[in-house]
Amino acid sequence: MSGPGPQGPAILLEGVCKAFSAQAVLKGIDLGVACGEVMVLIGRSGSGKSTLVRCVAGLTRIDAGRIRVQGVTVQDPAARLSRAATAEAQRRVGMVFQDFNLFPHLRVGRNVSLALQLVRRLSAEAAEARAAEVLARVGLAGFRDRFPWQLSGGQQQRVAIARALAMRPEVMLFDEVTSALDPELVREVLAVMRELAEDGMTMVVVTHEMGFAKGVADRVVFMNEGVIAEEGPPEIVLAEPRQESTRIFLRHLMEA
Amino acid sequence: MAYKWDWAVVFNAHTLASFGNGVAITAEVSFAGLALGLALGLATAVPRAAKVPVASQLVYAYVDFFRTTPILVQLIWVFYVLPVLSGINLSAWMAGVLTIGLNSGAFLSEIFRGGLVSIGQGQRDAAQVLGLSRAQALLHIIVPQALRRVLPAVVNVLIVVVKDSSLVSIIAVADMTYRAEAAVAQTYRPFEFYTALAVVYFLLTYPLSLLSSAVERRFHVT
Ligand SMILES: Nc1ncnc2c1ncn2[C@@H]1O[C@H](COP(=O)(O)OP(=O)(O)O)[C@@H](O)[C@H]1O
Ligand SMILES: [Mg+2]
Repeated sequence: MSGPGPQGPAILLEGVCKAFSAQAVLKGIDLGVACGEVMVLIGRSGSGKSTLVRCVAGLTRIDAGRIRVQGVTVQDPAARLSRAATAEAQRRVGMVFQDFNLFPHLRVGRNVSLALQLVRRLSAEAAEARAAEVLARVGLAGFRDRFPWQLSGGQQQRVAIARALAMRPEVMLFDEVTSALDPELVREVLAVMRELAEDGMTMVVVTHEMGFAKGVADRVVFMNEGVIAEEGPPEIVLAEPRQESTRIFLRHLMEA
Repeated sequence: MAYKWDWAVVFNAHTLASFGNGVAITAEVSFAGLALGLALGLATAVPRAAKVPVASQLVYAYVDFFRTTPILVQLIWVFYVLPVLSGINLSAWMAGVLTIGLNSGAFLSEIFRGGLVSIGQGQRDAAQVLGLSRAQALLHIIVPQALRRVLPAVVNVLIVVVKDSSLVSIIAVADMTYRAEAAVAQTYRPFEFYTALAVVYFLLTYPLSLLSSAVERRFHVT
C-alpha cells in the first residue's frame, strides 16, 4: 500500500465489512488512497467493487470497520458520529455512475447548478457561472440548454462528471462510467478523466479499460470475492500478477 | 319512434341562465374536490412510497376504504352521518367537495405512489452524493419526474371527478344535474333535459381526454 501523503490519506478504509442479507460482500477491506493518487479498481462482476465505492460515497452503510475521508470519519458503526462533520466530509467526495443518472427533467445547466444552489448555497448567478465553467472543462460549453436525452451517451456522462466537479470535490469516484457507452464514445469520457488525473485529482476508478489503467493509474487494486487479492503499480499487477485469481481475471478480460 | 322533440324548453333565456349557473357549480365542486384530492393524494403517497411504518398503514386503510365503497354511499355518509358523529355541520357544498376530495384522493394516492416508486434508485443516489437532503431530493428530483409520468392518469381522475360530481345533486347542491332534474320536474321534458345534460358533460370532459392524450405524447420521452 502506498503510504499516506503529507496530509495523510484522502481515503482510508479499515476492516470494512458489508453483507447483504447473509451474503458477505466486503470482507474486511483495508485500503488507503493518497491525495492526488489515481487508483484503479478491477475485479470480476460481483466481487464487491461497486459496493466498496458506494460505501465511500456514503450511499451504502457499512456493518463493521471504519471509513475516513481526509481524516474525518464518515462511517463507523461502532462510534457515534457528528452528523454535521460526516456530511461535511462526505461532500468532499464526488461520484459518477455507470448509467449517468442525470436528472432527465432538468436541462444540462440546471443538472449542474441545482446542488450548487441547494447545497452550496451559491446565488443563481454564481451557480450558473460555475456550471458554465465546468461544462466548458468537459468540452460541453454550448450544451447548457439541452435536455439530457438530446445528448449522446458520452456527452451525458461528461455532464455527469461536470456535475460532480462543480461541487469542487477533493475525491472523485468513478464506477464503470464507460461500461454503458458505445465503444466510439468511451474515448471522450476517458480523455476527460485523464485530464482530471493530470490536474492532480484523487480518483478511485472502477473500470475494465486496461489501457486507462496502464496509462493513468498510480496503483491497480484487484478485488476478488470481497477481499483485496492483489495490488501494486499497473506495470506489475497487469503484466506479471502474483495471484492466480488475478491471472485468470486478466486472461478472461483479454479474451472478451 | 314518434317522440316530438321540443328544444325550446331548453333553449330559452331562463333555462340557459339556470343551466349556466349549474355548470359553474359543477366546475366549482369538481375543481375544489380535485384540489383537495391532489393535496391528499400527494401527502399520503409520500409516506406510502417511503414505507413509513404507522403512517403507511393508515394511508393504506384510507385508500382501501375509499376504493371499495361506492362514492354515492360515501357522499350520503359524509352529509348525514358525519355531522352527527362529529358535531360539525357541513353545508351540502362542503360535504360534496369533501367526499369528492377524499374519494379522488384515494385514487390519486395510489397513482402518485406508483409514480414515486417508478423513479429509479439511481436518481436518489445521484441526489444524495451531491449532498441534497432527502426532502430536497424529493422536492426537486423525485416528485417532478413522478408527476410527469402520472399526469395522464391524473387527468383521467379529473374526468371521473367531473362526472362523479353529478352525485352532489342528491344532497341538493345546485349543480347542472340538479338543475336538469328541477327543470324536468317543471316541464315534464326529461328527454330534452337529460340529452342536453349528457352533451354538456361530454363538452366538459372531452377536452380533458384530449388533454390526457396530448400530455401522454408530450412527456413520452423521459
Ligand atoms: N443493494 C443490494 N442488495 C443485495 N445485494 C447486493 C446489493 N448490492 C450488491 N449486492 C450484491 O453484492 C455483490 C457485489 O456486488 P457489487 O458490489 O455490485 O459488485 P461489482 O461492482 O464488483 O460487480 C453481488 O453479489 C451483488 O448481487
Ligand atoms: Mg459494479
